Amino acid sequence: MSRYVITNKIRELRFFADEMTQSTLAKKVGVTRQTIMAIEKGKYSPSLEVAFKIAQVFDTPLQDVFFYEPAE
Amino acid sequence: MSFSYREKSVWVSLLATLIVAGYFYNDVIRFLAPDGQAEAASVAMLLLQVAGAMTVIEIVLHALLAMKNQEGANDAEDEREKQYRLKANELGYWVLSVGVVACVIQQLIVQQLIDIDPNAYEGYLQGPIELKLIVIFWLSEVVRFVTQLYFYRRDDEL
Repeated sequence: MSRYVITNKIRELRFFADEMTQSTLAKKVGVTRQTIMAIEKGKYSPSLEVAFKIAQVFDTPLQDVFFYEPAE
Repeated sequence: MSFSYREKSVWVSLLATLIVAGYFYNDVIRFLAPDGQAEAASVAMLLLQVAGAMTVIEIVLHALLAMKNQEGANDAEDEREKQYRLKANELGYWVLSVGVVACVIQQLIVQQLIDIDPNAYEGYLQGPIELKLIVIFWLSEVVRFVTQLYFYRRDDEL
């Protein structure tokens, strides 16, 4: 059975959101900047609530922010 | 490297724990040593000193940290920090539980073996139980802090 990982394109979405900083996103979501950094790097998988909040900030559906795909 | 306020706070707590352990190391070893003559009153005094020193050092270091770095000091713990704290607590609790049970069993066994030579290495086993419990508690605290820091640092790697 192949292993799956959760990836995301938060970095790209921040870039297109007028280069939004991690701190700004963190404040809007209600977590620390370090947590946003860990999520972006794929080191930490957020709860559904935080994932929805991130998608909401970028006005994007959840499935366009986070992806569940086989590990390379 | 990026440190959140809460991670710095854990570093401060670990530092305080190590400072106190370093300062009182000789006193604890003296009481646990084979020829150590531990009286209940002096052990109680040592425990009070350790608790007092721990409280004072924690307060001073945290006050210094809050003065130097106020970003995030008033923010509530987020889900990642909470998850890491709970995982670390679980591991620390496991160390504490195993340590306490081992300590009590060892004490019961020692009470049965009255012919232990107090000058032999086994003399360490005859140290006061309250002191051994404090050492186990200290160890569980260190495990708790180190585990939390391990998770924080793992996230910070590239």
